[in-house]
Amino acid sequence: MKKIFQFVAVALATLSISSCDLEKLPYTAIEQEVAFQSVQDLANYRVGFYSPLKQLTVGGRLYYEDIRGDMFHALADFGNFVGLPYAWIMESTDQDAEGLWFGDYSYISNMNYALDAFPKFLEDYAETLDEDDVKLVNQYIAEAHMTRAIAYLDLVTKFCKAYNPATAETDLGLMITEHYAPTSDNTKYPGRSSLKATYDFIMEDIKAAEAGITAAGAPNSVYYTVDAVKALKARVALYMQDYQTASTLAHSLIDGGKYALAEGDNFVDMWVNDASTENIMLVTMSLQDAGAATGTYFIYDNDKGDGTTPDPQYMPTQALLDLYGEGDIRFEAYFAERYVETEVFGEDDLWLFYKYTGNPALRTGAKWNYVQMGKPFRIAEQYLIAAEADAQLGGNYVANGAAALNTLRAARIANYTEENYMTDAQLLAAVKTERARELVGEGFRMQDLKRWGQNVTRGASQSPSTQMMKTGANYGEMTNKDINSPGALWPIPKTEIDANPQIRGQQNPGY
Amino acid sequence: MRKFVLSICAVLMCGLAVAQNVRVSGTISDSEGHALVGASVEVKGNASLGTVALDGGAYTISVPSSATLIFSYMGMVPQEIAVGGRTKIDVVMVADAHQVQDVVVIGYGSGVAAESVVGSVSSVASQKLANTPVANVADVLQGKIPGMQVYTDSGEPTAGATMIVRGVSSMNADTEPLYVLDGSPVSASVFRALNANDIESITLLKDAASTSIYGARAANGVLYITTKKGRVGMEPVIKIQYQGGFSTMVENKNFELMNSAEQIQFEEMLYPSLLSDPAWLTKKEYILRNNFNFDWKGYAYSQNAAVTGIDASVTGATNNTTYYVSAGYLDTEGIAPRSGNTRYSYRANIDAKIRDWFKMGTNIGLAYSEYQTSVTGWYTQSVDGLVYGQAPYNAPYEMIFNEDGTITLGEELDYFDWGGFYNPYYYYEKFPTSNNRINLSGSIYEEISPIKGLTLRASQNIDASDTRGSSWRLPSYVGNLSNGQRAESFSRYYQLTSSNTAEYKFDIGNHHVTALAGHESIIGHSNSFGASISGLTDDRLTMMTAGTASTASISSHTMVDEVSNSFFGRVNYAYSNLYHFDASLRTDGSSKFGRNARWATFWSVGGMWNIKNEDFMLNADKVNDLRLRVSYGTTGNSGIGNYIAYGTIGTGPNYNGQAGTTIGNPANHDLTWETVTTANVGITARLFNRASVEVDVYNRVTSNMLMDVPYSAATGYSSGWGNVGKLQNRGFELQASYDLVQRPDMLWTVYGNVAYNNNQIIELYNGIQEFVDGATGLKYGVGHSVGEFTGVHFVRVDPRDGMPVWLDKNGNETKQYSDSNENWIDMSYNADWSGGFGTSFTWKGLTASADFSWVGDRYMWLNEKFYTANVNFGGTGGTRYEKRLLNMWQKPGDVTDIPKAFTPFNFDTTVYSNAAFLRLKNVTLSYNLPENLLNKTGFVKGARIFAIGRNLLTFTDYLGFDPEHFSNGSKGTYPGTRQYTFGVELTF
Repeated sequence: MKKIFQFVAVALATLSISSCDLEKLPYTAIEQEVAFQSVQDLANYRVGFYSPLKQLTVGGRLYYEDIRGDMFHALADFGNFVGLPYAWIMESTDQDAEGLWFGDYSYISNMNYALDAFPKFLEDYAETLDEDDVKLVNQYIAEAHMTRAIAYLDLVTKFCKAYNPATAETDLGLMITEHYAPTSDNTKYPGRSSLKATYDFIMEDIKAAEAGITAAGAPNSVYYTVDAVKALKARVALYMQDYQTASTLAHSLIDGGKYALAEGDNFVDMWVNDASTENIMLVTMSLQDAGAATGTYFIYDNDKGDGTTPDPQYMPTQALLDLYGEGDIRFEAYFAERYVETEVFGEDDLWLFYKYTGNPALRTGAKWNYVQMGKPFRIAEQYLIAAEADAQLGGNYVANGAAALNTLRAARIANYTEENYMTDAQLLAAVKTERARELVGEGFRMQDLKRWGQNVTRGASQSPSTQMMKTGANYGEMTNKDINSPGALWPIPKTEIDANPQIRGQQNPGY
Repeated sequence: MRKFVLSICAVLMCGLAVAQNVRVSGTISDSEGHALVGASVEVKGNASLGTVALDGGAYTISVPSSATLIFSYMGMVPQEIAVGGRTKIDVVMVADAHQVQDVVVIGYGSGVAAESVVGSVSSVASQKLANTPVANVADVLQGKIPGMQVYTDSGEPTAGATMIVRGVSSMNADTEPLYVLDGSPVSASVFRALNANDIESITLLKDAASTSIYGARAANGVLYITTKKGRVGMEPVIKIQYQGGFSTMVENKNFELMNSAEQIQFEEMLYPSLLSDPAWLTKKEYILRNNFNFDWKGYAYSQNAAVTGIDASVTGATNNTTYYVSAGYLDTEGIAPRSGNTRYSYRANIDAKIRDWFKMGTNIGLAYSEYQTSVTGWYTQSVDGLVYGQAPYNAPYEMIFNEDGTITLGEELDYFDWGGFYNPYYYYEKFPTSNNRINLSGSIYEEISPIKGLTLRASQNIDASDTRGSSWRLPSYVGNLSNGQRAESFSRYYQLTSSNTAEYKFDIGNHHVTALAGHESIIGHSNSFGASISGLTDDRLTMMTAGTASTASISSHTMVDEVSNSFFGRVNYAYSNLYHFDASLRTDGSSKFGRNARWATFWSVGGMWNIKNEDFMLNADKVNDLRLRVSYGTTGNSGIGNYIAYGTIGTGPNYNGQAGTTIGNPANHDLTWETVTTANVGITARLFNRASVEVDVYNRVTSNMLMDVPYSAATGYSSGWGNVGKLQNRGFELQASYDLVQRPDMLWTVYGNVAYNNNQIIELYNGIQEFVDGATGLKYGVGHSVGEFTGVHFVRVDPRDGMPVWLDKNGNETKQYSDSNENWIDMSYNADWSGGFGTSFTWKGLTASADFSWVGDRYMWLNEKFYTANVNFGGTGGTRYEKRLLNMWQKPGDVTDIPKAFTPFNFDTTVYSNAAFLRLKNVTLSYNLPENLLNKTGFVKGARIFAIGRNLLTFTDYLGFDPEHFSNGSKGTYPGTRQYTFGVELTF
């Protein structure tokens, strides 16, 4: 019997050793509830307010909206890269739309998490924080609002109509989510708000950003500054047709005099090495943390890799090339003539879009990788915003707007003679063309066309023999698009519609 | 203590009787007259005087004339016979109804006799497993166990197998069975480390009655592997064997590419203008005149990769100890470049009876493998890319005209200029890899029987592996000249299992009861680390220290813990070997689940009626065995990633030189076990002493399914894990065997099995009827099976214009392709039907066997077609096309199913191909040399020569690489292999 007791004792001992704790926490992550215990923890999380800009201000977020616009033609052997957006035949099942939608909302969710948790941290740790800490945390909170505004703006310009004050109350905007609360309970998912509510929400975020971001502006700031917030606000105001605000803010940035327009070689250099006096903000990158490539589909040189043997998917239209007159430094900076050989469909000397050849400092090998740092707010855009807003305001404003436009053009064009923009209509027409010239490839085009109600007319080709000419059901009409036709807006991804009953019936028309 | 006193008394008494010894001899046989070699003879009260029956069952023993002998043999009723002065005692032993030879493991405890099994189990014995010419033993199981589909996905020597038991039971969680090696749960990698010749049997436990006791992860069945052991009283057997042979590619003739002449002809069909292009015509004439028609397939997949196996084992027993010790060596070269596996395996299984009440033992398996794997998947430098796809672009007639008038053929080039593609033989020479792995699977147990019927057992197990990998980009590689790279990776996994059980057996008259209670804990840990450095300049100096420090980077660093705790119990009750009842209960806790829901309880009940033992069957002598089995119960599945129930903040963001944090996983504190509820009814019968039949019908319903549920983007996530939905698998299994010839010197048996499984999604989440899995692009629909495809239905090519015609949503013909016309097409990559059949024939020393396996009603998506049947990439000398494209529509009136040139390529129903197949998996021929021949050597007891062929024949309509590939689609997989090996086995 003694034996049994011994065995039972041993068995119990084994049992107690081997009955172990089931609470096993990951080594690669911290549980949310205990993640924020010091200001440094918040500072670490704040890195994630800026890292999304390495996607939001470069790459597909830019080229999609230019390829969908009227300034590029696909080459015959383009391999259907970005083909569906180009042909305006996206489908709600496409990964492009899913990437934009889920990607931006994931940034928004990250900001929401901070906007819930950071104020709570201030409360919970109130006794241990000094004045500087509180100020810093409040600055972080403001920065989260800023990034959230940028992400919502990215979505609203792609998935929604342009803002029209007359119909904004009834036009569909975005799902607005401002708290972090993931759940599988699909009754809790939001539907789409009105376009007005969406833009108002973005404006609210910008105002919250204004309240806490106090860093003074300086060229190439890598973090948000007072001026960056102002630049974003001017842009959103322009989109909302709040021309007064747009004009005031844009002029104040111009008049502030901190950001000089780049001229000559300096301008060319900006599109190679990225830094420039023009950049109100520069989304900095390094070899180790580079962002998305922007110029791939306009160049794609896999052979020699130095841009001399390109095999591009898209080439500028003749109409775009014709926009640039004699002495325009932008032509030199944005375009290059190269011999292009297409498989089967012939070869030609083509002017290609070489605005994003890639910053040499961001290349991992000898070959070009078309990665440039983000330039979300260039002073040049503010000149254009000022001019456009002033043209819309009309009357006395036209002279101010004309001056802004002439200043910009004078910086770009050698031996420039000032134009006389006598009427608001003249000025507006001139600004529209100038936006195309200046901002081509920077992701503004589709939003601009939608705002102006201007149809896509891709126009003359510089090389009909190498251009993709296919038409028909699979490729659609390649050259002209009605700006009010379905393809002007991205489809809400089907995965969203399947998951979210509130959004059913709110798909963009045509999908 | 009482026993101890008794045995001392016995020893004392024996000492008094030593003087009057007699020599007793005789034979021991069973009731049919078969000699029982190895039967033990002991003197009651003096175990040290025992002996063992040898050839012909003969024994001789010198004992006191007053002694009582105990004759025993496994599975037979022990007999006690008093010598009573006799010198010759012949013994006929009878089978022990309670202990037939086949002891079937039923999870923990001591196992039960095959004829008492309540659950649904199937076994494969060692003869079928021995000498398999691939490292992965699971391959042999294909077609052998009804209800289990086995797919060996690739011909890579290190490849594992995918095993699906009774249909896919989960959409997102694991569908692999639980692997148990000699009583301890182990990882799937055990199959690569196990020497096939060490395995005694592999048993699949299928229904709730047999698997429920395993609770965790048993939802997909339990595959129980038993390794060999010595038997008490047996003569030591020393075995040495050698086998050698070679592997070749299993080529699917349906997937045939054009030769040079055909490719040229086809390219002229695509581009008629070539016919007036002088440069083209010159090239064409030259190619055809010189008959450049290079066999890239043969070049890339060598046709005779060596297979070598050497094994040695010793099995036997000393007084109270049995042992099985083996060493094995298996070297399998791959048919592709940079592919191969060399394995050294060692095993020691030792059991010792230390006291009457105390047993202990150990099962230790060690394996060391060195291996390299080829690159597949149609990437630029993959071998399949060379053979079928993109390069060399001018295949099959790439050549270079040298200045001296000679020609360099494509295969001699290091670089195929047209497409920026290196010759894989060159590439792999410059990108060598070296991997090795040590596997340890060892357990010890201690077992005491303090009182009659009670067994207390504790076992401790370690299942572990340590893997190292090195890879190089040599500095001499011209793509990065003088900038070599070296990468190193380390990973280690271990799992410690401790289980303790108490089993108590008692009989009250005809009532037999076995009760078991136990506890099991598993602690698992794995970690890995990888780093690389560049800047190497000399091929001979490639240690990481030779690189440039600034280029060093950490490619991976992971660490994962997993813990589970279980408490379980089972009661078996049998009445007079007529009625058997089983009930089991198990509570499992796992660290994988949410705080609120880590524990779950699984249970089962089962009954078996041994009809044959009923009085009314006594005279039915044509029926040798007839049993009816019924069971019902639940099992769990925890086959998901670790930590996914926690809401986390993780690393990731980088900005301005700073690394930051971001939200990781969304929390689900209620995440819990997926449950499979199984009902099973089965009949087992043996008739006319020749025919065996077993039928099972089952219904398995998976509920609380672990699924990555799609979320609204508003949550910040595209999906999150939850317990939703229901899935059903129902089907039947039938297996039968028949002895065509049953003579003492000849046995000829045929067998066959068929399994049908119908898989159906009953419920998804939130009431939705269908959704597309974002990760795989596969659609799931209520009422459809997991793995059923959707597509736009292709009908025909219009002879008038060569355009494809599809069906729209409403079933009307249309020439407009649109994804919105996608429909369910009643084709699935999960097979409904599967089975196997075969025969074995034994005549004197000669044995021959053949085993076929098949699956039916299965389809796969031919991803290759996007390249090999798509002319839209344009150009000549590009991708090699499939031969059947020569039937392309060319002019009005052509009736064909290949649309006209440059029709946009669409993934319509033409990309799905029937992946049903019938495969001659294994043929074995073996011959035992006659004993009289061997007796002359004086020390060789047995000699056997054998030949084995694997994957000798395949019958399929599949248009891709290889139908034995478990995936929704195929693109550039490593082709399956066929082996021929020859061997010799000597027994001493």
